[in-house]
Amino acid sequence: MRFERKVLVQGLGELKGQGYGYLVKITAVDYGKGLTALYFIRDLAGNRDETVEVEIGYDDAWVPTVMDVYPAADWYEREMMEMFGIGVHGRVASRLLLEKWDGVDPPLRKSFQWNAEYRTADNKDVAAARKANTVGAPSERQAGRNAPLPAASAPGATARGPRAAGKKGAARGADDKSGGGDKR
Amino acid sequence: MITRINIGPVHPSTHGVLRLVVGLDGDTVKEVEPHIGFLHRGVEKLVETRMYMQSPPYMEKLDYIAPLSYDEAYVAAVEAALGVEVGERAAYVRLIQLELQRIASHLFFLGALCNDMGQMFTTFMWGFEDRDRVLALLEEATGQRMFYVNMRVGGVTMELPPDFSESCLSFLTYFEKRIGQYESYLEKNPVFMERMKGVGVLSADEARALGVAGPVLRASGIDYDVRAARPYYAYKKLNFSSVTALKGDNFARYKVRMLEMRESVRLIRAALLSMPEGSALGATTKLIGPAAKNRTVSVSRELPRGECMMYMVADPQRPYRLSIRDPSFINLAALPYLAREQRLADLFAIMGSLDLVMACVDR
Amino acid sequence: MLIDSIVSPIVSDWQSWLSSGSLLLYAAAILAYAIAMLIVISVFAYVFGWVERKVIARIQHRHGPTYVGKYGFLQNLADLVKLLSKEQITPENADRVLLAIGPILLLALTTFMILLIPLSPALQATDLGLGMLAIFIIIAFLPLLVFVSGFASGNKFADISAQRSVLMLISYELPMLVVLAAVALLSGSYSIGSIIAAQSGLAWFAVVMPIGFAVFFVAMLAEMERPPFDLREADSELIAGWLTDYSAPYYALALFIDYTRVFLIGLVIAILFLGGWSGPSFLPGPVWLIAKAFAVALVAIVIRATTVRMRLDRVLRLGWLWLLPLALINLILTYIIFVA
Repeated sequence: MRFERKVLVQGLGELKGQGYGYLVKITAVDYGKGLTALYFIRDLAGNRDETVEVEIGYDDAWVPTVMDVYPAADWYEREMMEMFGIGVHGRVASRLLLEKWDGVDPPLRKSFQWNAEYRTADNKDVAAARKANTVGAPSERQAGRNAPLPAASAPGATARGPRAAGKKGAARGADDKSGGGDKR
Repeated sequence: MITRINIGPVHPSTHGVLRLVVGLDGDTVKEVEPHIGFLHRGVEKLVETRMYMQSPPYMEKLDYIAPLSYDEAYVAAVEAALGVEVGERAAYVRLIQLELQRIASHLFFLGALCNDMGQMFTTFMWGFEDRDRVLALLEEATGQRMFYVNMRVGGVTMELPPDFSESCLSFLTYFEKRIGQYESYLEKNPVFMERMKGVGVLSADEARALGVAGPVLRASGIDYDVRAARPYYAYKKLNFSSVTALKGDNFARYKVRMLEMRESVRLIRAALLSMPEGSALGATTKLIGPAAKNRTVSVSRELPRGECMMYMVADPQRPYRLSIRDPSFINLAALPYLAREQRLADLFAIMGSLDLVMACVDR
Repeated sequence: MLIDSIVSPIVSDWQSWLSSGSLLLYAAAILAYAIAMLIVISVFAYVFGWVERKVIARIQHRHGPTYVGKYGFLQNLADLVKLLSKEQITPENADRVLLAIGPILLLALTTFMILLIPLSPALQATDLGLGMLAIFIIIAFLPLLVFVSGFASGNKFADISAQRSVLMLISYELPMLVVLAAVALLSGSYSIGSIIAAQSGLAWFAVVMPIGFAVFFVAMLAEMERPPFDLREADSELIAGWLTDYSAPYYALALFIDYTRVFLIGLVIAILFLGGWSGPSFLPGPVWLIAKAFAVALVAIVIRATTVRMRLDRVLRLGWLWLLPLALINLILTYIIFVA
């Protein structure tokens, strides 16, 4: 069953009224041309399953929150936000589930680069050194590893503890994510 | 005034690496915020780069207490994608192994629950002794005590050894008495009952709304067990009946699992006695095999911890996307709700009764 | 017997020192007694520690320590050496003086109480007319030291857990005192000698007042802070216990305090309810007393192995709503049956 984004909450509410009172999972698939958010719901008594698909593009990847209809959606939506970079509008700003992604592309998108170096901005030289040394001699790799650490006043995550960084980021509002992940 | 304390990620509880930030008002828990992700390995992304049968080891590590069940769930999804039917005997063999795995998992639950409540590992040790016997049986059947990787497309890796039936049946006779002993030992202990009855009550509506799975759902009165609702293998033929409790407190969740163990014993016995002849071996399609026929498949299995739904978008040789819905994730999400306005000591009892495995939660 | 022939001259010498007018000899006698008792306590603590590990292991279908020494007897020694050789780390906001004083005073007081308990009619360092009561007064002082050791950590969780422990300890003192009053009613005085003599005359008080015995046993489990009442160490599983900021030597000390307390309470129960040093004469009196204390400790071990921990509010409820009324009933019944 396919819904448009703007009628998603209403549609799910109707389905809930028809008996689909149990949310199984919310996830998404990156089909290469766009993202598809999937909502798996179930009617426990009648033993029926239903899958609701919502297609969204990469550029304005957001869905409205369905927590009012299914309270179980909370963590699933957070996971979807984190893994796919799909913003969820209308919900309380919350921490990412898996802490401290630093400027990383949403992992489960197909655009996620497997062997790239994901570092905070200040460690670019380390990243470049490592990239240059793909099959380098041990001493060269060692040099890359022993590059001087960034200064403590870096806006990255090392200065404050993880919770501080997470809270600040979360307070900036988790619902305005579009495209890439939140740059912290 | 809320005092925030930090529990974990390293703590003596056996559930895994979990960090709880608990907001206390005196002795009452006002809010619980679980921080997870310590065990995140990116399994869903990893399997996208592996061929189908290269992934079962990843799947098994998702639940180190009952690895076979994840293995089987994934291979079932692969079979659905490839359009392969499991042979009759193989279905019985898989059922026996799954139910043995369930017994082992629930024994672990029992030990971890009593541990969380402050017992000095006694029930844990006894439970593990029995779990060791189950693992020895599984070692006879699969060659491994843990992380079996025993499932192949269409069947299993090895036939059951000729004397498996006898050793299994003798274990079952012994174990039935043991379940009775565990139950009487724990349920006649007033201290134990005090901490279980009436603690962490989850009503049926709340359970449905929170989306919890497995024994937690069934203990709140909702009769939904994948083995009964969408029977697979020989569950229907062996007259599987799901176990439900009504109260939804810790004790109900514990009792559901104890009764499920009894049901497993009955199922294994019935399966052993009525197993059809034939070959249980599956195709050794390790890396290269028949191309996937169905594009999207969705397979539900009843793990010891709850229902696992594998939603797979299948490419010819590897999954394009595998979405694993694991029960511990959503059970943990229910913890902040369950633990509100409870005492701190009850938080641990509740967590023990939810039977969480962090590897499952983090994937 | 041979042992008698060696021991009795020593004991009579010692007694003559005690009863001689000279202060020096008296002090020397007390000192000798204290040293001897410390050796007894240490031996008991060591053996009890070993027995506990073995018994709990056996209940759990394990073996327990087997490598170090025959049947693992030297395991505790090995652990002690290890603990004493570790680095001492004290957190910054802990109060060092109190941190040190708390456990040391706890140990000192517990040992002092054991010194007040005579091992036999002959081996009495002191014969306090109010012997048992004095012991209980000192027991009542222990919660303060528990509180100090928790407070001194500077760690609010240790503080909270110590406070909970104090709550439990003071709630359980009252039932104990009421039962003690019933015992004293039957024996005519609080002195230990007369309590034991009364039991020889009548029957063991465990049989005479079973309710009192049960109440006292439960209350004493709480005083020993053993499961199911180990709230203080319990919180170490949950948050942080009182031992978190105590480094290794103090951990050894804490274990020693634990075992000493078990010894003390075992002795108290043996004296009050199990006939003390009376017993068939093939073993001397002190051996009987210590054996009975050990039997009590064994029961405590088995309870520890098999029960889960109680929640604080249940513990308090048990103490105030069950133990105290039962102790009062016990007192009234004792008065009615035996005195009136």
